Formats: sequence, C-alpha cells, structure tokens
Amino acid sequence: MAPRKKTDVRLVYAIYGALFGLMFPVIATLFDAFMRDMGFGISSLIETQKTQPLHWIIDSAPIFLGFFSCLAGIKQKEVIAMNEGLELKVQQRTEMLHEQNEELRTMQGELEDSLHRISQSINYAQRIQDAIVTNTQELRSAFADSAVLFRPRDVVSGDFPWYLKKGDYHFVAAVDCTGHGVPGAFMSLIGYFLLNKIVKEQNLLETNEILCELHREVVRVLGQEADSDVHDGMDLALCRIDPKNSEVMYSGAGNPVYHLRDGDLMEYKADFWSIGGTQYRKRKPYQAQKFHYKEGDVISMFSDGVTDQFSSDGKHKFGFRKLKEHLTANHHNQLEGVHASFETQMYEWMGDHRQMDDMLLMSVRL
Amino acid sequence: MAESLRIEATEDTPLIDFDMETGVFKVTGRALPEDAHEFFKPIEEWVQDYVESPLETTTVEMRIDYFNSAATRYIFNLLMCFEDIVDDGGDVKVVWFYKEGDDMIESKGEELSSILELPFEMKTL
Repeated sequence: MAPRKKTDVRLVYAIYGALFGLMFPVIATLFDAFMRDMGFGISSLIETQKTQPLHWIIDSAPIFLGFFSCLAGIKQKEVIAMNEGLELKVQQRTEMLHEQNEELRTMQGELEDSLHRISQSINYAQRIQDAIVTNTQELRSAFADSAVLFRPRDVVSGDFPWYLKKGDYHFVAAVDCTGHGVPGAFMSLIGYFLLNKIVKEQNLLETNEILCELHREVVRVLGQEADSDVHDGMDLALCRIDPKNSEVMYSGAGNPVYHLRDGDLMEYKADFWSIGGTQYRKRKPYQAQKFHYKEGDVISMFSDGVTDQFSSDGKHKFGFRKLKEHLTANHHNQLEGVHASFETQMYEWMGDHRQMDDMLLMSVRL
Repeated sequence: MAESLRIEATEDTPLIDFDMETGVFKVTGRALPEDAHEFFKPIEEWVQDYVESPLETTTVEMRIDYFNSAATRYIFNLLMCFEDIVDDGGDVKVVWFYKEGDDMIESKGEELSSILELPFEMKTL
C-alpha cells in the first residue's frame, strides 16, 4: 500500500513554532505602546520598536521558536516513519502467515486425499487376502472345535493360518512372515501358494520335508541364492494330523507347538532356522517330531506377535507363561471362547500401547 | 584403523555404539525397524570391513530388550560376521544381556549361542 501524501511534518512544526514566537514581539510592542500612551498607529508602533532596543531581542523569538519546533518536527517525523515501517512489517507478516496457512491447508487436503486413497487400496488388498489366505472355513468344517485368533497390526497381515487336507492327513500351520502390512502380505501370498504347491502338487507329506522344500522355494522365488538384498522369509509351526493313527507330526521354523491334554501342556520346540533369508553356512535340515493324541486333546500354535506384545507401560512383554496358563486353565472350554477370553486378556495387557506385530493364535481340538 | 560407528537410538531402532578405542561394540535398545534391511545393511557392511583387520580384542555387548522376527535375522547375520575373527585366530566374544525373567530374550540368546561359533556369555542385567 502506498503511503498517503502528507504535508511535511517538519514544515508544519516550524510554522506553528514561528507563529507562536510571533506573539511575543506583537504583544510586547502593543504593550509598550500602550504603557507609553503612544496610541496604536503604525507610526507609533514603529517608533516604539526604534526607541526600545529590548524589542530587537524579543523580535528574534519567531526565528528561534520556529527553529526549535522544526527540530521537534524532525524527531516526530522519524517516529512516524518508524511506526509506519512497523505497521508495514506487521502487515507483511500477516499476509505471509495467511499464505502459509493456505499452503498448509492445501497440503493437509492432499495428505488426507493420499491417505484416503492408500487406505482404500489397502482395504481392497485386505479383501483379496481374506478371500485367499485367511479363510478358515475349511479348517472349521474339518475340526468343529477349532479357533483362529487373527489380529493384523495393520489392515493386511504377514501372519496367516494355513489348512490343507491331503488324503487322510490334515495339515495345519500358523505362519509368521517377516514384516507386516503390505510387505508382510506379499510374503504371506508367496508362503500360502508355495505350501499348497508343495503338499498338493509335489506330494511332500512329511512335515520336515515340507519345510526344507519351502525354504528352497522361498530362496528360489526371491532370488536369495546370490547376495540378495531381500532377507525376508517366514517362521512357522506346521502340524500334520493323522486321525487314522491318532498321531501328530510337527516341524517348526522358529515357532513351537503346544499339545494340551487334560490341563497338561507339552511343548515341542522348533528348529532355529527361519524359512528363507540368508544362506547360513551351518543351516541344517529341519527335524520332525511325532506325538500321539487322544480325542479331545488340543494343539495350539501362534506367532511371536502374541508373546512379544508390550504391556501398556511398555516395560514388559506378554511372554509365553501367560499364554500357557490361559490355555491350560481353559482346556475344557470351547476353543472359540478360549480365544475370545484370551483376546480380552491381551487387550487389557496392551492397553494404549500400540500393537507391535501381527498376532495369530490357532487352536484345534483333535 | 576404521572409524568408530555410532548410530543413535530411535523408538524403533537400537543404539549402535561400536567404539574403536575400547573394542567394545554395544547394541542397546529395541530393534523393530519398519525396514530392517535399510537399518542393518550399513552396520553389516561396517562389520564386514572391521573383521578384515580387527582390534586385539573385540567384545560385542548385546543389550536388546525387544526385536521382531525380521530384526532377529539381521542380528544373527551381524553376529555371524564376527565368526571370521575366530576363524583367523582372533579374540572376540559376545555378551548377551537379558533382564531377569525375560524368557524371550534369554531363550533367543541361548539359541544363538548354540548355533554361532563364537565365545558367548549370558548375563542378567
């Protein structure tokens, strides 16, 4: 905004000062003429001036007062200029803030838009994942009392339950792919289809052989033979249920299986090696363990997202003990109910703490 | 001699403090990086260079209180790099710290010690 054209304040001050100063000689002269009874004619006023030298000093008042007023005017002008500068600055800042505000608002809009689109995309992906990977209907139709507690950290998940019937065997696995969210979900699809292929098409039926083959295949599919930058893979507990012989065959990559009978819990430990990932020099083939079961026994498998979950204060991990205690204490109950109460316990445990990883707990009553 | 390696901790990644003055290499805190590869790759590369010409003695102090399954792999890989020092007749050991009662970290340490060919010491915090 252009500053308004104003009369120079210095000149105004000087004029007012001089006018004020002019009052002194005028009054002094009139007063002197009056005192000396000389009348107020021009000639008598001139006469007064001529005969009284003091008037000459008084006559200089307009000059001096005009000069000093002018000095005051200069100061005043500076103050005015400074104020105007400040006002201008404030105005500029306000405009700047306004612009920034606008920018932020636009950015927020764009972010909301992106978030919305990403969410939509992930939700869509979830539908695909649900349809393929996390469908548990077949498991339920084979084992009426079975339950799957499935809590992805994000919408899609790296954990998945797997079930397949092949001949007389039922294969059940709780699989935990590295990562969560979208990368985890990619891995889960790879794992799901590889497991199906290995058992259905390649006819590998021994759990240890299945894991060895799964490892080979993941390494091959992800090109991990060479010095690959993809170290991903999966941990899993795999059980083969053989109803004819009342026998379970188990192999594990990282994750154990619990066998519950009448409130007693037996743990079968997994091999250390994860599926896929780096080619350890000392990697050994997977082992298999077998155990017999009675009708009504339960096997439970889970991902480490369950046991590694931090408490609400972030100080403690859920651990194995509480999971074992919950399973043994409720061994005679319907597994759906057991899982539901376990989920409640987990919610209470984590409180406001964020979920660290995908969670999967699978239980099957044999 | 290589420079010391120091990476400050974040909420999701541990403090990396590999001190070339003392030969004490500390990993402290939580390891659950969103992208484990991005975090561990430079550390692994540093260690691979280090084991070419290591100090007289190397002590690796693992003070981790949480790691996710992806980080487990990278930690294992990282420790495996130190095996080269043993192979060359050097002096290296791993000290695995865990909180009393933290059965997860304790069992992970035991698992790693049984597989790695490294002097391995378990210590409670």
